[in-house]
Amino acid sequence: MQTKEEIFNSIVRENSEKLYWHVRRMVNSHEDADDLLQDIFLKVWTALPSYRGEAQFGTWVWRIATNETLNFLRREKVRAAIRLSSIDAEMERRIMADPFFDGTAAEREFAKAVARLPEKQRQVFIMRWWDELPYEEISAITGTTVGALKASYHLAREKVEAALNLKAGELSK
Amino acid sequence: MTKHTDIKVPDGYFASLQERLLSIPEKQSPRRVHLAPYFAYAASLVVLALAGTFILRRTAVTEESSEEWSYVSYLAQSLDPDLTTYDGLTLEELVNYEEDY
Repeated sequence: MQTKEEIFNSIVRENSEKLYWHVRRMVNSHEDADDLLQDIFLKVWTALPSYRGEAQFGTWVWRIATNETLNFLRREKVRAAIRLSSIDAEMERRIMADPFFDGTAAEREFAKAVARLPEKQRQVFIMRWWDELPYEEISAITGTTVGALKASYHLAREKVEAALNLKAGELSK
Repeated sequence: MTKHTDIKVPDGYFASLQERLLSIPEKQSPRRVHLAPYFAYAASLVVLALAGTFILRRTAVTEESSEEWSYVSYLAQSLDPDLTTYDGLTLEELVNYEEDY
């Protein structure tokens, strides 16, 4: 029988890096992703005694992480509104100013196009494109049907492609 | 497009992240909470000791004062009102007088 601490340690070892990348893609900032990871795992530790085993540990942890991230983005949306700005503009500013960005101009445009997607669509897109999670797992995490997820991903992909084509058109002029 | 090649993290970041996350249980340990009653217990002992010392000092001073006061009252009632008899008495005589009485 594993102790609470042993279970927590194995959750951290198995999920911290994967979750960092997911959260980082969602918030487009290393510092915010780092802070969020602390909050997420603190919540995991606190909620561990109430874990009922209805989902796999991994799924349960991802669910906490995605909820915390969406809550963070909602707060950011309010902060942006107070500054008379928008969350899209804030995300674009983050991508442009990110000192840890190490990609090409095309990759930066791709990141910007993804950042402009609505929150939940972006979440699904990131989970499929970068995190490479199977639809069944995304379905267990988000509580959405596989069919709806496939439709959402397809729509998100179309939007990203359209944004990139538009940018390519602008650059070729 | 290869995954996660466009963004990087500071050197040794994931090792330090994991270390910080693994220390969460220790930081959230209930031991911290249990220290409060010990501090309260120690503080109440200090308060009791201070109160005891204060009461003892007050009591000692009161006894001394009442002794002096009863002695002066006794003299005033026993001797003449202007205390002239005292002018010719030595300390020894005064003590002897007190003993006879």
